[in-house]
Amino acid sequence: MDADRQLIAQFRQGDREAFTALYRTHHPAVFRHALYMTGNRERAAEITQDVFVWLIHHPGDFDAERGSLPAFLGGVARNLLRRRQRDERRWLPFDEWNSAAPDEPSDAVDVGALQRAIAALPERYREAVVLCDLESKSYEEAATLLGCPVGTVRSRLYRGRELLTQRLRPRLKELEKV
Amino acid sequence: MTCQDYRPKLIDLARGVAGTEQMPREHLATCAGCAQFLEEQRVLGTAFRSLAEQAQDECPPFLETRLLAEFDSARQPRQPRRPTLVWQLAAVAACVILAMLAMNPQQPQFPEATTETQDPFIEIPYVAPFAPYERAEVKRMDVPIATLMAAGLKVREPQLEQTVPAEVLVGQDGRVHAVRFITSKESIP
Repeated sequence: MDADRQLIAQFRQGDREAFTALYRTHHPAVFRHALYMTGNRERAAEITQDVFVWLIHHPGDFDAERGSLPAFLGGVARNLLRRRQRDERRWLPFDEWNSAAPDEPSDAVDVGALQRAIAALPERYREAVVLCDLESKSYEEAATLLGCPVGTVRSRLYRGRELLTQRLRPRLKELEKV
Repeated sequence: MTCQDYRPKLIDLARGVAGTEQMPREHLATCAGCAQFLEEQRVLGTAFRSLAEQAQDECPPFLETRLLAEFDSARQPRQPRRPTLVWQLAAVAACVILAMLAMNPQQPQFPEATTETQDPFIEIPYVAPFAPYERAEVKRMDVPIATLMAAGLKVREPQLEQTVPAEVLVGQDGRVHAVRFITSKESIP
């Protein structure tokens, strides 16, 4: 964390190497989070790019006293994901609106099916599943990141897992073998 | 407690959250539905771990190059704003128009009345005002002085046989509402 503080200070003074180091350290987590949330590599890469472009243009917005840099970047990523999802929902072409519905189970059994099912969850449940189950955050950490009580995280995780179980029930046994 | 109350605890159990190992076990021994739910949650947990392991790959490598280019452009001192293409085209168009005007000595023809008549319209006494939305028309004519006197206008040196050039404001019904005298006689067509 001290290393982050130092790098941020150098980055704010225009140090290109410091920015490169920050990007190399933190972009995998941002990319993974975006990938879990979108289920799409290209979109995840776009979100990752947007997060760091945002950091370039708002170097003073990170306050080390209020939290860690990974948490801050995660928050920026979540805001950008929400905004993008809102925009995409608004401009969905008419002939594609129905395809935005959750995936129907297919014969193909792989983690891609799970990834698609997660990406189709309502956002609040998806965030809880991604943070707690895929990023192995504790309830307390997830609650801090999402800005809600621990009980809310638990109930959202329960609801998200319940929906995933219903959607994937026909092939849960096969998923176990993956 | 009902099965619905136990389910969040079963999820904790499947996730291996400490402190919940003992709680729902008595219920699980007697409830087949919750036992199946727990098994499904364990399978889901295994699938989550597989997904997390497979998703360790990183961003496309070109992203770093793009971001560094963005960093460089953001750090450059801002240049004074250059005129946009639209303004450049507008300036060129203005130059062309000015050049054409300079080459063609003929001046544009403006209506003479606007330059030669400076007096305001004088209202003809006792004429009913315009109706709402009534259209009016301005006509140029030589008005006999006798007519002006008959309409109620005062004439300083009445010479009844003479006329004066004027613009008259005529309503839709043909009645004259006002008159404006033209100071230059050459402007009368």
